[in-house]
Amino acid sequence: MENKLPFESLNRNNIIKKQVATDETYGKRPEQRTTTELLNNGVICLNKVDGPTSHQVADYVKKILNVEKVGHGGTLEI
Amino acid sequence: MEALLKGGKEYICLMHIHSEINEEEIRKSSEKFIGKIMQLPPVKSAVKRQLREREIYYIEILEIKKQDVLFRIGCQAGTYIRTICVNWGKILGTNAHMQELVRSKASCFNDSEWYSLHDLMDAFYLYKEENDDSELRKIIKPSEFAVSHLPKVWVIDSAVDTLCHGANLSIPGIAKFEDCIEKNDLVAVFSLKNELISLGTAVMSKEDIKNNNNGIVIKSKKVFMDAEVYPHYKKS
Repeated sequence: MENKLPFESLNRNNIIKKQVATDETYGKRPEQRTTTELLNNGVICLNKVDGPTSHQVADYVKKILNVEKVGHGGTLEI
Repeated sequence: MEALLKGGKEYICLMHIHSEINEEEIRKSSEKFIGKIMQLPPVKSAVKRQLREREIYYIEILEIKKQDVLFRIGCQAGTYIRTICVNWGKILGTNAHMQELVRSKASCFNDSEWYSLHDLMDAFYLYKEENDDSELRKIIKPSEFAVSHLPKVWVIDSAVDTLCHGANLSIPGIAKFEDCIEKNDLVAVFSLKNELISLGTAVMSKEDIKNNNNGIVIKSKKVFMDAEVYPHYKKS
């Protein structure tokens, strides 16, 4: 059996409370967002190499993508 | 970000044992770590040095070569693998230390789909210079992806704007929900277009949500969507 983290073995059945449609006039489905929108609000799973700190890598990403804000969520602390 | 940091983690670690130990003994002793363990963070660490409880979900030994042990470990966020190695050495009646460590999973992010800075640079070049965004769109995921490990609820359009103003979510606002929700779980609240609206704490279990027609289900903790993306709902 493959080892799993707790969230990977959650039973995710959808239960419907109200059968309703959404009005396409408002909001935007994630897959319909433009590349600019993704650049301004998106996530990247980056393999950080040894050497530069997470902070430095976030700064590289900021420069490569030419965006205003980049943060990182997970420093590998050893 | 907090949601991401608190999910489970998986690491691949290379441990070096200071004396030669029988392979069978190493394999057997790994079982001692499964479940809840107490850990004292290492001297050099980012948190206060006091005993704390962490849960280890699994340890899988990938390879043993003399005094080197390569293993995969699934654990609760905040587990120090360096400490696991030191304690493992002690259990074996010797010493051991962590030689190398790679994180292979952090919540829903894992090593099956990760990119290098070079990949990102190439993809951005393709996008800027050749007007081809296909690679870049593979690398940059919508922010919704970062909460895909959390249990979800979807709300009706008329509930969206009030949530954007920080209101709690009650049953009449729910269109559907995942039946894994337990009380006190951190839950992601989505629109019916699968846009992340907010994160909050469940104050009802899945059974209660199923069986009731009113009452607060999610206490809001953090709102992501801007107000007025969806129309303001007026009570008639």
